[in-house]
Amino acid sequence: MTAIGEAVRAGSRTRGAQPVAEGVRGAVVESAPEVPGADEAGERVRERVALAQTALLSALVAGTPVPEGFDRTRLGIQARALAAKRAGVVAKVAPELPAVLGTAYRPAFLSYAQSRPMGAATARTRWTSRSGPC
Amino acid sequence: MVRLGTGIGWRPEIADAVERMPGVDWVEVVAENLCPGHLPESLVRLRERGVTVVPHGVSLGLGGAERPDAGRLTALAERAEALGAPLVTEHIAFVRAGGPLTASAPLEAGHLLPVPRTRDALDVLCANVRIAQRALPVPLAVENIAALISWPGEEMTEGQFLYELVERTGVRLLIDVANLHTNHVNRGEDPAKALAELPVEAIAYVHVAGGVEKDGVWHDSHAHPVPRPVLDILTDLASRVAPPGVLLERDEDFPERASWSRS
Repeated sequence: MTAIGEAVRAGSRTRGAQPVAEGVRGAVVESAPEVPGADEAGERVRERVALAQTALLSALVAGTPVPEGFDRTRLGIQARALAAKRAGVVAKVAPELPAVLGTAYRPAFLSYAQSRPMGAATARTRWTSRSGPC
Repeated sequence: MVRLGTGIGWRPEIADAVERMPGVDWVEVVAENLCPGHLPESLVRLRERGVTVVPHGVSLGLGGAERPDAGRLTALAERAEALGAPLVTEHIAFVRAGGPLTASAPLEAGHLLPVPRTRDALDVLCANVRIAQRALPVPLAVENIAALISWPGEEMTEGQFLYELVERTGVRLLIDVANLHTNHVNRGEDPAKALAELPVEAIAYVHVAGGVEKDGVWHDSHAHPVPRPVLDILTDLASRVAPPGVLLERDEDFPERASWSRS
């Protein structure tokens, strides 16, 4: 926390010296028009975004082919990171699994998870440190 | 913009240490970990001491193709009310896909994934942010995330994307300088360029966190000390604008208290 304070103070000493990109100076952030009910994204746009995001997520969690243009190596790293995170969540919610299986838990879970995407219930617990607050 | 000061991410595991730590003006708490009916005693004590508590949502998926779920928005609004929070924060990310729009099975990522920086994705994000703003009792700020992967065919830089998002919605920004560093290592994006392009006046507060590099990939672990490059980005940011708040995130591998207040 001390280092953070020092970093901010170091920056404040040179404030005003930084060039500001063209167009940024006039940014108005407090008075954007409020249009009740406005939804500027049409259904077609939502569908296109949905298809792209579903193709990517499906490749990451359900083992479908990598969509065109993505770096396969990176997608592999991301897929393993998601599976490891999920294994950690399940181990927290059901500690008897790693307790019984020991070091075999992780490889067993990762092999199980490969063909079975996470359900909504696990997704909810993913975000909470225990099994849910309410 | 509300002045928050210096804060730390509150987690149940470090509640005692946070209460004892000197110089904590405010804390941020993961919204999904709270029940507004019975807040953790530690948070209630902090509130009584005048420490501001900001709920930080992780599951809305504002960058997702679907409209944000009304139930999740209500839950976030209830937490903001229960905590008397001056603002709430979420992420520029998608966390689920599939479902009715694609006529396929719903899929959950259990993680924050980057949205493509395209016109289409920006339109959807802006619409979703507006829906969230209408449902929330306090201003919303949204955070730039750390990414391992890049979308092909992106049409904007991070700074341009954030600039348009702010201009079209009036949303505030939560700028995570560790995530700018992550995207520098993982996607070759220049943090100084992002800071020069994004509207720094919209910054509500700043996240700072540690991470670790493995095989040329930066993992935003929140479990390692804050490295020099991340502090340098914070200094760069502070040279452009006085951030209303700065918050340290530390989720795992808590060090002994002594070394920790130094980090």
